[in-house]
Amino acid sequence: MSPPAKPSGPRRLRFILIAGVALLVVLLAAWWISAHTATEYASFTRPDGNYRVVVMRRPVWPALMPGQAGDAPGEVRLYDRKGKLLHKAEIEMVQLVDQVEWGERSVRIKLVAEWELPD
Amino acid sequence: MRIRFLTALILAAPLASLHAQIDPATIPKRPALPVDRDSNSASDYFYFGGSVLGKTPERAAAAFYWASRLDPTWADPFYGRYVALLLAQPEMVLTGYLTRRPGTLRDPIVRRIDSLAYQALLRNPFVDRRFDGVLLEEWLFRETGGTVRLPDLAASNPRFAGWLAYANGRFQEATAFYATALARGRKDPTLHLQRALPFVALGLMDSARSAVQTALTLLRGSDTAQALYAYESYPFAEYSVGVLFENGNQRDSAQAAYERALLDDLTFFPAHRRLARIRLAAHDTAGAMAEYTRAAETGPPDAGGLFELAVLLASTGHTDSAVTLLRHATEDEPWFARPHALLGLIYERSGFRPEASDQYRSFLRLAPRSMATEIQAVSRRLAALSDSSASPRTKRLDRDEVAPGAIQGRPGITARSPDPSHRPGRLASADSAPHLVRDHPHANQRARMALTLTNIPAIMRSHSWGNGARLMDIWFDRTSAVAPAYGPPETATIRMDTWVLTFPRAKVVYDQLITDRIWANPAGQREVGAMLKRKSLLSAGRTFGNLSLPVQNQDADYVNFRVVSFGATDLDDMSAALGNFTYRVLVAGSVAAGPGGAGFQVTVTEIGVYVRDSYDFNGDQFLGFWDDSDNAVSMVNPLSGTSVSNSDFRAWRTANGKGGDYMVLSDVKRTVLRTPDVFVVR
Repeated sequence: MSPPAKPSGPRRLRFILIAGVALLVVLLAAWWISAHTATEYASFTRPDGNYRVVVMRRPVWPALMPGQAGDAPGEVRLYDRKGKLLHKAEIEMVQLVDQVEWGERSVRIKLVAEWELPD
Repeated sequence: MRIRFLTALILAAPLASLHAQIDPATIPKRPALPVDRDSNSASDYFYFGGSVLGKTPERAAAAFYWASRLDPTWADPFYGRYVALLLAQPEMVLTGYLTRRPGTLRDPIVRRIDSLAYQALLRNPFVDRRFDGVLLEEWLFRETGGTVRLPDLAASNPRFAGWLAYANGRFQEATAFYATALARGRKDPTLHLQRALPFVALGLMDSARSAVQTALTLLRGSDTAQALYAYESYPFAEYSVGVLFENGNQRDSAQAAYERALLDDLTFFPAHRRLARIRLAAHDTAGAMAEYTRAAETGPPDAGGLFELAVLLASTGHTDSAVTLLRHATEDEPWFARPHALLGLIYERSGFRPEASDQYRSFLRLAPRSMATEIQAVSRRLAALSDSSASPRTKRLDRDEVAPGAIQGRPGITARSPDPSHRPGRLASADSAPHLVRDHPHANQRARMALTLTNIPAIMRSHSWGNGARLMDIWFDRTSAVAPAYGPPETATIRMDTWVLTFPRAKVVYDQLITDRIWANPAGQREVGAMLKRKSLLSAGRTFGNLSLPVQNQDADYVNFRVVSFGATDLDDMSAALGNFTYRVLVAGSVAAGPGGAGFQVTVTEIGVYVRDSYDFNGDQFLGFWDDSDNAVSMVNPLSGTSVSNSDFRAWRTANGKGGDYMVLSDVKRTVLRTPDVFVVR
């Protein structure tokens, strides 16, 4: 039995293009799902309740070992009392956010971010 | 003059030089015991060996050999055989050994004999060494034709007098002689180590511990880079201290000593075995199994150790793994009776009646008469098996039912001769070890289990992921807590030198952060300043940082960090336990006035690095496919088992009121900086 003939010339190019586009679609879909399925991991509220730092976590693909939810990447966000997003920053691991120091006019997340608070 | 020369020879020739490799020994013929003695009894062979040691050392050596076969957990027969085999050597060889003649010490036979002493000391650092007296007395007789006797030597030397008093069982006198000797030369660690022996024999454990700790201090303070004898090495001395603490029921101190021993030598497997016993006594089953596994990975096979681990496994419901180990134990040492009883019991409980009967018969054939209670119990079970037609069943075994007293056993359990065909790593590996369910001819009698979440630690253990299993067990055992409102941090599992830095991917990041001196880069300097201000330490003349404090008390003061990540191919204990994690860096040093009065000059003289990792189940996260019927696990293959996700663990927490998130913290690895970092903080 002879092996199937390889696609040649324009047919081969079309095959490569279709495969490439399909792969790109899959990657984009994975990115979109990942970016839009972030869930709240932890939050830190200023004692007067006027501001809140929220750590959003994105799932890791394909899987993590049990107990390692804090290893996932994500985003740290600063909201005001009305829920308006004031600042955000990417973080390598959500567990990196653990010391949030509130000031009158600023918030400092140790070794992650420092943000001014609005007047 | 002659007496002085001989004394010097003897004192310069410690009897247990301990660096030799162990070769398979020639199996001696089993000596005939007196008619009223029990040929299944290790004790009877041992005492018989002692009774004929001076006259017929060959027979004594054979008797000690068979005592060590019948009970491989007992240290004394190994030491007895060491002495007996030395006595059985030609005079020239014995003299060469005692005077440490290099040519003699290189002799393969001598090295094989020498290794027996080490095996004894590893089983019990304070093994009774009174047979040394017989050895030297005989040697002295050969050398001098009886014109000089040991007491003649002792008259002029309190150290030798102490040793002789110990060898003759006059322990109180021995301590007094050693005290006199120490008054003359307090900086001799060997003298302090020798003095510990009569203290132990007198039951004065505190005094013995003090003697060993003094020796340890002297050893650490000496300029000698490497100990002459293994029993004078740091790990061995720390190990000895740990044994003394353990015998005094001071388990925390014992644990600390064993951990120090491992800091000095990660491969010092007896410390792992002792740590396992301590963790077991503290009902930390996962930790105990992890330590046993480490011992197996770093030490030679040992039927006694395998038996202990099997008891532990069986008593916690891991009967399949227990069977595997018991099979190995019976193969490693076919004359060791106790594993057969436990194997029979597990087979019986699992419904494998013919196999159970075989094992019970083996036990009855091998058991000494001193095990009368066990013999009766096994005989009853064997009779019941013959009579009844009970259906197959499985049942978790109670520890007392498994083997009364088996776990505590005889103190000082360690190794037997290494055999290249039995290498570590086989202990809990489902891939390499026979498995009761898969391999047994009656396996189809047992139903395949669905995944139980709390069985995941056992699956991890089957892959030798001991720390991963332990951390998960801790989560299951804790009261409910949800990150970031963590429960108390876990600080006892992860160790920097003995575990973390043995993984290349972790070592690379550690080395890089040291090279980069991240405590003194711009971010580090900024955090040092912030930390000093927060603690009101930013003023001239102040010092900061106490790296000896518990790590949880210092965690807030870290000044920089680095992330360690794992890749798709890094499926190992580190990924199971920590996955990705951070190194955090602490600093210690002093503050002075800044140049020209501007700001403050901070000098960092010491740093500490530790691991910090969150153990929690927040957010949506798939956790792989797990199967506790065959211990399979895969991150991607759905055919490998049941899908598990974070929500399963949260549901378990809700249903059981347990399952506590916590922070994992390692010990702090301290480094004194050769060149302190100096910078200005404003």
